[in-house]
Amino acid sequence: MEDTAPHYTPSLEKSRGIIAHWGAGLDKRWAPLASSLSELSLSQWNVFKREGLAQSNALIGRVSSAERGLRAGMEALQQLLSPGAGVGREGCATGEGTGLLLLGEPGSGKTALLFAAALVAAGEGRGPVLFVARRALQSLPPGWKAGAARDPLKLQKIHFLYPPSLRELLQLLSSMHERAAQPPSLLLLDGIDEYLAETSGAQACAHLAALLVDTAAHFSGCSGSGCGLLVTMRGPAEAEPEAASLQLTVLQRYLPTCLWLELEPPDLAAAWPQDSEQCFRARLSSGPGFPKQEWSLSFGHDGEMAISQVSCQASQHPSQKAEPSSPS
Amino acid sequence: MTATLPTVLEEILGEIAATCGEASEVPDELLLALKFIFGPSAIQALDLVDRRSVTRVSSPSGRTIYQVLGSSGKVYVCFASCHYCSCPAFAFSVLRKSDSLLCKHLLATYLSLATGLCQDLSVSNEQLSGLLLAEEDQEQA
Repeated sequence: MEDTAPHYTPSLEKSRGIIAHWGAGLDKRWAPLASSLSELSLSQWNVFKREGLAQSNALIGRVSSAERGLRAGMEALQQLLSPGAGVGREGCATGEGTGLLLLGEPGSGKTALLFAAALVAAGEGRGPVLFVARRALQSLPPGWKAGAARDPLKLQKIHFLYPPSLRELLQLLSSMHERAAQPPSLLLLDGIDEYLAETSGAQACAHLAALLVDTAAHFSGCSGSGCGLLVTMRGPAEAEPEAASLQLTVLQRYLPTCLWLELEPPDLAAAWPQDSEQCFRARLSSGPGFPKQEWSLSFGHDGEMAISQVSCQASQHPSQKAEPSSPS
Repeated sequence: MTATLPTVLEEILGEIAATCGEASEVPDELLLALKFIFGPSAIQALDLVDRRSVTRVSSPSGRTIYQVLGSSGKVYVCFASCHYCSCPAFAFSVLRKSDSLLCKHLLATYLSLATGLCQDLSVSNEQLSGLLLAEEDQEQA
């Protein structure tokens, strides 16, 4: 069958592995139709060609197209930092309940950003915010004091849930639809890695991620105004076990948009106002070959958060330079 | 179903849904396209559709999942909003090796929806919660 498929071009090689067995698997039931196969393959390849990179991303199993994810992530970050806009609406803006995965080393501001998002969503007059973590917060994130002082009622809308094991987390997510009187506007999971440490299986990881996405999608359908999903995970260590790497790959299948957080290098942090307690750098990525976006975040002593966009660094790969910076 | 599908598959499913309304028969060229994209699992999935193996299970809360009765007699769970199936092939070929787009159960689910050949089942909220968890039970058994 190799000879009947002369339509490969170098740019399609990526897709080829996925559907490599298409021709080899032909059996006798299909013999009458086989004559038109070469025409079909041409037209199908033209579809792949037309769709270009976005298509091959979809083909390798990214649940959402990278472009859509990129937009969702940018909106998510901008929205969670501008009160009145609304994190939860990110799902609606993209037409689906795309979540956001926050990645970073311990101390890189993941929980602080998650908490800031919770306060913003709680102040919107929509459904409650569910904040799920393995254990109670050890210390209050910077955003706490300012948020609480401004509006104590906001905190009452944040429901904290602490399932102590993966099993109990799965039970919690599975049964959430039974009793939610008012659909939540935002579902937050802090430290998914702590639960995934209990298992090494790709299936268990996919089950948890899919359950999160499906639960958020269910609540989005209930409320009509969307239910956002934000998940934090400890960034992969340098000498990373294979199981953890596979888990991250599986997670990104369900949460294709990632926001990487890291502490701002001291020389850059010095440019921030003196009263800034912590400075962070946030990098958004939706897949290889897509332009990266960067922001600087800082938390002041009063809990106020400041954000500014960092100019995109020039891409090191010529192939990426060719990518349009704002896909239409 | 709101899961994002490859554009090619979306086009095919759309055409199947459009033609099935009139003739309840999937045209040859669409079958061929399926075969082209999914290889042998296309036929297995069509077989599952023919045997009405896909059931949409819903509860009063509005939460929905799909159950697929596999050829081995085992029942697998597929999610409505994202690509997830509890079968071993999904874990291996899709998650681990990334050399398939979907397993035959997920494909059968999409095809059953497009052709309107889904069975319907209503259960209580608690039963649906149990189904959402079912995969974990199998692992421990």
